[in-house]
Amino acid sequence: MMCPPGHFRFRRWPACVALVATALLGVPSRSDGQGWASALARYHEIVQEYRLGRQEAAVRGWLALDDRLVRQGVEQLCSILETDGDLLAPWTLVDVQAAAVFHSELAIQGTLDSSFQRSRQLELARRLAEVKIARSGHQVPALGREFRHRWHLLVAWRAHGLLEMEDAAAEVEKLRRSFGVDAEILLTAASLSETLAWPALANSLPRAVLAPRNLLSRKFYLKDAEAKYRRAVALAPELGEARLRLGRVLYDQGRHDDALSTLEPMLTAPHDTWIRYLGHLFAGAACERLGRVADAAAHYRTSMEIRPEAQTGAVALSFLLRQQGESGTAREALSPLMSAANEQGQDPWWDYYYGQWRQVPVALVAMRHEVAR
Amino acid sequence: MKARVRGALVILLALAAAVLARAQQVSFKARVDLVRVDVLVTDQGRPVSGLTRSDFEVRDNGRVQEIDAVFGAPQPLEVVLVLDVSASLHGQPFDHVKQAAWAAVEGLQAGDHIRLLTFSHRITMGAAEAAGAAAMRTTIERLEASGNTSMFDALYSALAMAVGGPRRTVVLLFSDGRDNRSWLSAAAVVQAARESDTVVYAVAYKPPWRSASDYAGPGIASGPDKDLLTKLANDTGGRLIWEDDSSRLPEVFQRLLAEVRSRYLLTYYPQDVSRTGWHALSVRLKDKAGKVVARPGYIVR
Repeated sequence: MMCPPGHFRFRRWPACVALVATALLGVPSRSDGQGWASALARYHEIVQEYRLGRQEAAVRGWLALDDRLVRQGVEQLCSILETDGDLLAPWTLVDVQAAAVFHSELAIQGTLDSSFQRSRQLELARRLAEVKIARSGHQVPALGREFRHRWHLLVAWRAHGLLEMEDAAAEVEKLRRSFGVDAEILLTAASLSETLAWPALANSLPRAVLAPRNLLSRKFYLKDAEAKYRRAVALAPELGEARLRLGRVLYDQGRHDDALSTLEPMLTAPHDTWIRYLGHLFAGAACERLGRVADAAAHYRTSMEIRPEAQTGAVALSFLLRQQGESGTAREALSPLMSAANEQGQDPWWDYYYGQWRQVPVALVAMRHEVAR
Repeated sequence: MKARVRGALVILLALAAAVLARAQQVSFKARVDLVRVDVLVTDQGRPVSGLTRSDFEVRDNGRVQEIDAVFGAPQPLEVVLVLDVSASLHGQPFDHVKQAAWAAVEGLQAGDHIRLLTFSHRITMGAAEAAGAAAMRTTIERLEASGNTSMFDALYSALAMAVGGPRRTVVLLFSDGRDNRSWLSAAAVVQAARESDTVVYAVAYKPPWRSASDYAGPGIASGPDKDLLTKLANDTGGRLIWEDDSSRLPEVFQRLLAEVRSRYLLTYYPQDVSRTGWHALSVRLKDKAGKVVARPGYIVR
């Protein structure tokens, strides 16, 4: 058994021994041992394409590779780092990080059709993102704390967005164990509880997923969400989404006055129309419950001005007016549903119970920029 | 002979104008003055025709009411066709849904109006169009199945827009899934239905090969919301049809429209009952055999 050909060189002999042992055990086979090495070389080139911003070329290159061989190569790359503390040349830690981001992107975005393929991409990304490095007889995380923090958040947000609640909760638990508790982790955890408290969604989740949680009541989840949002707001008052969501869970618990006072500062959030739109919708709902019909109508109208292409403000206003016996103006309020803009517009309400899903593309772009050459 | 026919036509037109004028006065606020009750009468499953005012008895909160008029077929219709276009229908079932929508459009008659309201998470609503409008075919052909389900908001919107004036208003709803995106609650939609004159006919589709575990996405974990659809149909005097074969949808839509046409519209001015609040209604045939289906009551605020 020889060391892999070409520019792959082992800096230390134990790595060669590991390879020999692996080859003798048959996984990978002797021929595979040659195969994965060349696949890993090509894979490195693909990662460089990705780092240069040539995403399409990188995806094309990846799809042309032998998936099994690359996986073996990645496993070898990681194993050697973890046992030996060294990387196979020409890999660098930034390359490993870039590869993790690349596979995360493949797992999250719509390039791959099947959910099986996407979950395999996530497995690869996880192997790379969580890779350890041998240091003085110990294994420590190879990639930076900041990157790992954001990567686990990204994965938790993705799982929440797909309503894979168990996976999302597991990711949050990993975050807690690795990084303690910070405002973003609290926001993510609280959003999960809030989603579990939403009857419309909880009723439709597969029972197998939620069985243990069904034992807990909606009230429990709302209380849990409230406590975590409060801690998030206390730790990071600038985190507007935490305050907005705190206002909503207070409303859901029937504390309409508290909800209004919590939402108040969010109604003028200068740049974030997502927060302002939902803030006015939620404030409108709270006013409605408090019998302040004119204020409720004003909030709904403002939400329609903030996001004219969204439909929920129009529906909420129309229903309010109809309840007052104003069926004509209730019909007029629905006119945005007949406009062409409505056919393309996005409504923040649609994704509200999907946690921080909306942040996923933004987070991916930021991570991609960080590894760009 | 021609003069006699012309004379009869003039009388008929005058009668029709009077009916239209009266019906046009009916709005949400004026409803306490004139109550419209849309009823279906069947005998052994077949619609009973030829009934007159003297055949019905209407009780409002237990008090027998004097029926002002009974309108049998043909009455012009205002149909709001509410179609679920969410992703779960993708493929052949959705082709059948489009064929069914078109069958409903073709089943309309002169004087009828139709409005198409589609929903996934997004609600898209067209203007009310007269029967025979060619644009409707293009709209239906262009429909695509994608997205989630905002059924509550869509149903409320349909009820809010269903103002027939002189026409009888019917919401014909088709769905295969559960709501997972609406702002309004199921209770709010039921309330809106109870406060409207509109009859809701619901067609729920769930293929037999699809079990609860086949529904991977949110909102369709257990197929259509049977409880809600049953309640909506019952509370408006309509009907819920449970269909497991999408190829039968065109026929189902046509059959329902035919049933709608066979219904009677009863009007009366409430006597000896309080103006506001819930009015429990009961409608029965006095001396004839037949099953009467009507809304169980209405609310006046």
